[in-house]
Amino acid sequence: MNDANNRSRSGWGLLWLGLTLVALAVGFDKAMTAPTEATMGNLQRIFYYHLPHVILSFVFPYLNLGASLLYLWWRGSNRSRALAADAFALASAEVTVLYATIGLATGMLWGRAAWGIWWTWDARLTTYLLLWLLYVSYLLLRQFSSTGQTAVISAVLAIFAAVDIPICYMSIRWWRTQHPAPVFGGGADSGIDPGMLPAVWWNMAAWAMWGAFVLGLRYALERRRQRQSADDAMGYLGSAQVLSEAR
Amino acid sequence: MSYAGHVWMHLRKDLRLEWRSKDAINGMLFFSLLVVVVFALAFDPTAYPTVARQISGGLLCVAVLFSAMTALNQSWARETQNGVLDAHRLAAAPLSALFVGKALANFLLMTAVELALSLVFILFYNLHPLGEAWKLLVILPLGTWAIVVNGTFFAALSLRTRNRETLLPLVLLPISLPALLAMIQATTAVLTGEFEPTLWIKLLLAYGVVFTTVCVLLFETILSAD
Amino acid sequence: MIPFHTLSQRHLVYTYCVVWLLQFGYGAWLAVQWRRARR
Repeated sequence: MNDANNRSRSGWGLLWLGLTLVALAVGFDKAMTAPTEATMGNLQRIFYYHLPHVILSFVFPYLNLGASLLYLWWRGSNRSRALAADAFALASAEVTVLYATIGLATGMLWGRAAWGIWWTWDARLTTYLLLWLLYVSYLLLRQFSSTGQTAVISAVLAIFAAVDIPICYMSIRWWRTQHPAPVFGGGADSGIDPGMLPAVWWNMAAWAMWGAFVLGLRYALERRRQRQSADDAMGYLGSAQVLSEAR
Repeated sequence: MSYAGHVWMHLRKDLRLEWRSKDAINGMLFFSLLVVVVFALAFDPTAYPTVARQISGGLLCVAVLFSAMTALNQSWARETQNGVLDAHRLAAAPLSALFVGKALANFLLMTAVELALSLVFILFYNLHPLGEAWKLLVILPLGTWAIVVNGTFFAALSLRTRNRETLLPLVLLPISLPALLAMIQATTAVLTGEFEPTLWIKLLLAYGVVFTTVCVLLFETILSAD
Repeated sequence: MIPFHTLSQRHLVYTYCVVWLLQFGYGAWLAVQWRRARR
């Protein structure tokens, strides 16, 4: 009965993947055929990939926070839901780091070619780097902690990260207004040619769909691993298999 | 016994233990001195006096941060022996009092080191504050508390992790960045006298209040994590 | 053909390649892990 459930879930997953790949292809096409920007030329097309990743990298941390809070809430009362929440927290943190890394990388490649600098310590970039640092430290904490504790202490770190980001944003904003520095245009504030909007929306949707796919896959993988270690612990799989799996 | 009574008891215990061995304070003092020397080699203060004045605030705070790391790592070490931590968990006293007591003890240690460090900085960097020097008496304690409160919390959090010493700075530094920035900006403001540190002092105050609350509330969660 | 002469063109190409590499690489890695984890 579990197998049938799993197969139907895989079916939906593959369907979603298919739709995502189509959306990505359309997004790419739109990005390449959108009107060329006046000042930066074709380089500006990086924006169509840069923007979705940056925006989405601010969405996934909230999912992580939510899942962490749910974990702490359910930890005492509903053990199995708590485990699911923990798996979701891990998955969303990994996807956050993935999207934030891409946001940083695309931004730097764009900045270098457009303005000659790889980096500048303005408010936006510094806070963005901090976001990346916080979630990498979250993943490191998970990796280094001893198994029984991982879920609890990483949930606590997630709360700290969520409290820290707004404080950091405000403090860096004040820092930068005191010593004004060139702000990377980022393109988001300047008026967007309506001819470019389809490219923006298609890529936004496509990378959001991909993010959801990858998040779901990572979540499912983590759940599989959780079940596997639970089974191993109970000796369910039979001693021979358990021994051969021993790392 | 009241909550404050418990905190005072934990504080006295930690200070007494530290006074008997003087491990942490000696290590921190010498380490801080070495850090100052390294910075003086890296950023020669006599060759570039104006630049030295502008960056010495930052350097002082970084030196404070590094010596805080050495103190924080071992501050929970003595609780892991002889089942002391389990005794704490079983005791009727509120667990967060242990945290506050230990954070205060670390804070006092750090302040002692900072005084020595500031003295060394004044000597090596020929520093005299161009702004209102008394404000440093507000800025440095607030900044130190901000680092110590989170540091003590994360040192406890990483108590049973592998690579405990390596993990603490990795987790603590990102979280502490706003406090560090505020402390550096405020110190630089006082040393150079070029701008007012009030905004940064307010930020340090807000940061301290917010994170002390969060730490006290979540301490019991992480200590009984198993 | 893919334009690769100026710095701008090269960075555009690099960027898109980096994004695909990281995203599809992560997806592929997950898929491999998924296969390996039984049940």
